Formats: sequence, C-alpha cells, structure tokens
Amino acid sequence: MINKGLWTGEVPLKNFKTDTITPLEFYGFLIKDETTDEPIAIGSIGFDLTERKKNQKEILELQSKMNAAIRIGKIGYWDFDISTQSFVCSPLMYSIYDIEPDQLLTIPLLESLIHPDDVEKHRKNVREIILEKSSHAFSYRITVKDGSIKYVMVDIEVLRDSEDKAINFRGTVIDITKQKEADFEILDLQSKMNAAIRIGNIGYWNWDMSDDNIEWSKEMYAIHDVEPGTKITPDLIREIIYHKDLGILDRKLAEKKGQGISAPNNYRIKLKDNSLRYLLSFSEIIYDDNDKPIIYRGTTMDVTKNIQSELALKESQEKFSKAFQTNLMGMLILDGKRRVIEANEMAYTILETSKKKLIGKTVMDSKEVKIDEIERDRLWGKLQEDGEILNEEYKIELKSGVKKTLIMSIAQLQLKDKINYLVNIYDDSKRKEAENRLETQFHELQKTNSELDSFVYSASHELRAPLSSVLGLIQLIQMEDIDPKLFQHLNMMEKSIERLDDFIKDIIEYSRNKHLALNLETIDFTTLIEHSIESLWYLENTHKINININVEDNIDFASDCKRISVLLNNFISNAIKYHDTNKKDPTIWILVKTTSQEAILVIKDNGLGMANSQLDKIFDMFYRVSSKVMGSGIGLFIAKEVLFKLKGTVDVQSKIGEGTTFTLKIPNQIS
Amino acid sequence: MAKDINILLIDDSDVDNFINKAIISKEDNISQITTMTSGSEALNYLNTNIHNTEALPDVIFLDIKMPGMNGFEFLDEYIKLPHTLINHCKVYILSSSIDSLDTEKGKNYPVIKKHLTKPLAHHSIGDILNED
Repeated sequence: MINKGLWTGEVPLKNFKTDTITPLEFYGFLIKDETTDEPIAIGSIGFDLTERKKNQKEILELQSKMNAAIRIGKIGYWDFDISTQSFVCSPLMYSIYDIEPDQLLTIPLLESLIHPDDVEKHRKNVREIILEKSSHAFSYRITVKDGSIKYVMVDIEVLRDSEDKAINFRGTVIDITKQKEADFEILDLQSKMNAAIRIGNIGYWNWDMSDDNIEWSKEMYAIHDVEPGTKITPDLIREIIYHKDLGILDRKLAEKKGQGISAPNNYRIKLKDNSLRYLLSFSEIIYDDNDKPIIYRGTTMDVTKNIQSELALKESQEKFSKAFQTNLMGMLILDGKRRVIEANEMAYTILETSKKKLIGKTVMDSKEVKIDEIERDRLWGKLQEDGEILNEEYKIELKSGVKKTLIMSIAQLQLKDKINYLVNIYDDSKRKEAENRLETQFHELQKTNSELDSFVYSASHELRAPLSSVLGLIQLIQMEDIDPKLFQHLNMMEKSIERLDDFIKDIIEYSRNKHLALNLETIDFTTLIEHSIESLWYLENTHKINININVEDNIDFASDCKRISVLLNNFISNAIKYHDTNKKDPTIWILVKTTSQEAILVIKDNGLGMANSQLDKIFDMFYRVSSKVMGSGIGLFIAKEVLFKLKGTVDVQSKIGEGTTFTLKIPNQIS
Repeated sequence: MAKDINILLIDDSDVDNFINKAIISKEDNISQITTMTSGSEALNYLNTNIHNTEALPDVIFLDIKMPGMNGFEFLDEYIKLPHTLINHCKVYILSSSIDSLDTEKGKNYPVIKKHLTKPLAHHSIGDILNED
C-alpha cells in the first residue's frame, strides 16, 4: 500500500465531541519529500458517510424491489466543486463507471460515458438542480468499456452559499443494472407464463415501438383472419380494426406512464366478408427511463360468440318487452297453475279490471270475469295436446255484465326454466262493432252516392228541359218578321240562357267524371272529333273558321270514350269561342297521333292567344280569360279533372295575338 | 226532286212539340207533321195506319223522359211492329238529356238513327232530314 501510494477504506469513527459513531470513508495517500521523494507522512481525507447512509435508506425505500445486498456494495460517493470544476470520487465510483482509479473524472468524461440518449436528460436535471432544487434523484444509462449498458441511479444534493448560489454538488451513485434486468426478466417471464396459461383462442402480441416491429402469435393470425406469416405493421393493424373502434387503440397509445388504464379493452375488427368480430384485449405498455413507451404488448381473444349471444339476448328481451306493452292486444303471462304473473294495460282494459285484482290469482278466482268452465277446460285440454292455441273464439262475461267475444291465442313461454303461458287476447266485440259500423257507413255512402247520381240525372233533364224549350221559342220568334230591336233583345236573352245551359252541362259532366268508373274501349278519334264539331254547329264562330283535322290512329288506342269526348268538346269549343274571326285566315288545327304508349292530341289555333300570367290560372275553377266570351269558367277545370282521371297531361303554349296550342298526352290503356 | 217528308214528333211537352213543329215546318219538302204527347198514343197511331203507307211517318223524333211509357219503353214495343214499317221510318232521339248513360242505352237499339240533344235549332235539320 505504501508502494502504491494511495488507498481507500471505510471505517466507523467516533466523534469526540458528540460521542456518536460516524461512518467514514477515508482516502489515504503518502506525502513524499519534494527533494528526496521519500515518504515523510501519511495524509488522509475522510468523508462523513452519515448523509450517504441516509440517502441509502431513502433509496431503499424508493426502490423497494431492489436487492439490497447487490446494491450496498455498489454505491459510489462523489463531490463536485463548481468553482474548480473538479470531482472528488469514492473508489466505488471508479468501478461503477469502469474507469481507471487514477483517471481524473471530469464533466466531459462523464458525459462521454452517459448513453447518448440520456445526456440531455442528465444536463437538464443538473441545470434544474442548480437553479432551484436542493436534492434530486434520477437514473440514466452509461456505456462501459465492453460496450454493455449499465443503469445507474444518482442522488444529488446541492450546497449553497449565503446568496443561495450553488457552490457544491455531492451525491451517490448506485448501479441498478441488475435490478433493471431482473425487472425485465420478471416481466418477460410473467407474460410468457400468462401466455402459457391462456390456451386456446388467445393470441399474444408484442409491438416494439422503437422500430414498429410487431410479433404475432399464430393465434393472432387466426383470430384476425389474416394469412399466417403476413408481415404485421401498425398500418395493417389500423386497417383491420373496425374504424369506429380505432379510438380505443389511439387512447391506449396516448397513455402516459402511470395513467395506464388497467381495464381490458373490447374492440371490433372487420373481417374480409365485412362481418364484425368482437375482441377482448389485455395490454400493457412498457416505458423506458425517459417515460417513453417502447413496447406495447398484450393478449387478445375472440369473444364474438359471447357478445353476439349477449346482443341477441338483449335484443330479444327488448323486443319482448316492447311487444308485451303493445296496445293492440291484451297480453297475460300465466304460471303453470294458471295464475296471472304479468299482464299489460290492454289486458286490464279488455277485462275491465286492474293489476291489483288480477295478479297472483287465476282469472277464474279473481272473479273479475265469468268464464264458461266447459269451454275453459276444452281450450286447456287443447293447449296441453297441441302445445298452443291459435285464434280461438272465447266468450266471456265481465263483472259489469258486458259480454265479450275474445280472440285468444296461448303459447308456452319458458321463463327462468319454468313453463309459463303467454296469453294474447283480442277484443273481437270491438272489431265486430267496427265492422258493422263500417258496413253501415259504406251502405249509407253508397246510398248517398246513388242519390247524388240520380239527382244529377234528374237535374240534367229537369233543368235543361225548360231551358231548351225557351231557347226553341226564342229561335221561333226570331224566324218571324219582327222589330229589329226585339230581335236584338231576344238574341241577348238567348245568349244568357245558353250560358246557363252550358253551365248545367258542365256541372253534370264534372259530377259524372267524379262518380263513374273508367269504361275502356278503342277510340275512333275521327268520329269523336266530327261529333264534337257538329255539336258546336250553333256557335256563331264555327262557320267562320277553317278546321283542319289530321288523325293518325293506325295504332289502336283504348281509353274512356265519353271522357275523351269531353276533352275534345272542351278544347275545340274554346278554340272556336276564343278565336279571332277578324283575322285573315282563322284556322283551328286538330292533330291526333297514337302510339302503343299514348295518344297525343294537339288543338292549335291562330286566335286571340293568352298572356303568360293567365296560363297558370286557366285550369282553375271559375277562372275566365275574357268577359267577351260566354262561359262559366268551369270547362278547363273539368278538362283537368278528366285528364287526372285518365292519368294524362296537358301542356299549353300561347302568345297574345298569335294563338294557343294545347298538347294533351293520354296513356294508351290497350290490353 | 226529293220526296215530301212525313214527320212524327213524340214528346210529353206540348211546348216542345209546338216549337219543334214550328222549326221543322220552316224546312222545304215537309208534307205533314204529326205530334203525339205519349209513347202509347204514338203506338196506337202507328198501329192504326200500319197499312196506310201514305200516313206513315218517314222520320220520328222521340223524347226519352216521358210519364207513363218513356222513350225506351216505346222503342221496345216499336221494334215488334212489322219490318215494312220499321224500315220505312228513321228514328231520332230528341231529348234534353245529355246523360251518357242514355246515349249508352240508346246503343242497344239499332233502330235509333242518332241521339240529338235539345234544342233542335242547334242541329242542322235540313241535313238530318236529307240523311239516308
């Protein structure tokens, strides 16, 4: 030791003043004569280890999992003077950092040893401690000579001067590599054990987050319906997980150390056939010392069957409870002894009773309803034999004396492993009542309808007969040699009566269109048009207008002949009445073309024409374009109604002074 | 030169018979206009003159709605008369009814030449009378 000139040791010394034992580490060295180089004295620096021992305890508490035996031998002590930037280290420091005992420890040397990823953290911790902290413990990695990584835990304390300026650091260093390794090993072992325990459909996966290398056990491939051996990437995983459940993965990945939610996750994946599979996953994230997640791993199992049966159960329960509370039918659930254990509101309404009076008793015992016992036994026997009763008529008498006919169905219902009966009752008396009422109403309506028809028929004759007589008389008088003034007045009288007569005709046509069903036959357009023009012979304008008819009806067209003729009469008479006979060549063109789909009727004139603002209104009831022309304003309204009945359409183009074109399209009803 | 025409009007309304007679009489070639106010009266008249070709009408204007025997009931009996008579007469319905049901019903009687709606003045009488 003398030869070496340097030695160290740890000894407890007694403090003479306080009389307490103080743990001390000493650092001995030879003092040599400067000229002779002979040893002349022994020098020693002693370190008070009290503080260190205290730290040691704290660390022990902090790292309860650590093996104390391993640790104690590996605690190094150091002291750093900020003004001189020099370290004084206990011998163990050299072995921990794996440097030669005579090497001078400096900040650059220390930083060269620290794992590159941890240098910045180290600096930051030191800076923080200089500024504001008095003590701090943290860990970082160092790389030793042989290239292996050691984990060290540092505990620093700061000495400050009167101005609170840091002047000195000191602290301890512990090698916790073994402990770390043990931790990893234990975790690894645990997962392997877990994996071993979870047999069957449980997959194990390991996602190394530093290089996104993902390992899947073969069960994982099977669970996810992915070809075994497929390279698994985070992108692929995102693709597999059902898009609505990606949030679960994102939340898990965003977890910070310590806030890990230990609850297992339920999520869905979408298979190739677009069906969903429900998975249950237990997972954990491993963090490095910088609290950066490095590994994400866990187990996954297929719980689709469980989930599906749960869903199905929930759904059928819901359906049942909804169906049970329907107000269309009375429903009762009876137990094996025919006691009512549940009933819905409708059942109480039908039986005119209440929950209180019925539940727990048989319907018979409740005395709420009188039942024919023979009938009851017959149906009960049938139920036992067939297993169900379907829509049987069942006559009952209520307490109030009201007799009802029920339509009853009974089916067996398994509830909590016991046979129960679900009884549906439907108050048929009400239905019969409604049926009768409906029938009466129908007959009344039919009567009203036929009365209306008969009224219209009578009106058509009784109203028209005297009018036509008057018209005949007027014409008769006009044939005589009379005063021109009288002739004029009779003319006006005739016009007024004709207007009234036309109106009556229109009303009759409207009523007929409403009430009579379609009567389909092949339409002879040429004859219909000729009849129509003939019937308009009496109109003053008729003889002054050229009527140009072109019918192409080679393809048979079927529709309601009477209605088609109403349409033709309306449009042709309008074309005549609203013509401008002062024009050079007053003409009406009537064009018909039939196809297998429809008939196109065009009634075109070069008459007065209409403004655009009028076109919207001409089909309205009682709308009249001009007061100069006699009319009731109901003609085109009827035409529209008739077209509606024939499922046809009408289009109108018009220009004032140039004329009007009506284009009708009527579907061909030929069979 | 067309032969003079003998006409029979059957209508329960005296007014209408008067008007129609007056209007028809304005036409040329009319030899005789007879008016009857009921179907049965008209049948009697025809039966009485069944062999008197001179007295038989060439054209009959028949109203539908009449008390007692209506126009169709008259036709039911009329068609039982000898063919010689039926072939001799042209029957026109002259009614104030514009009811399509009446027109439809009229189709069941081939003897009906045409269905005319009153007033008669709205039709070209000359054309009707000269029709074959």
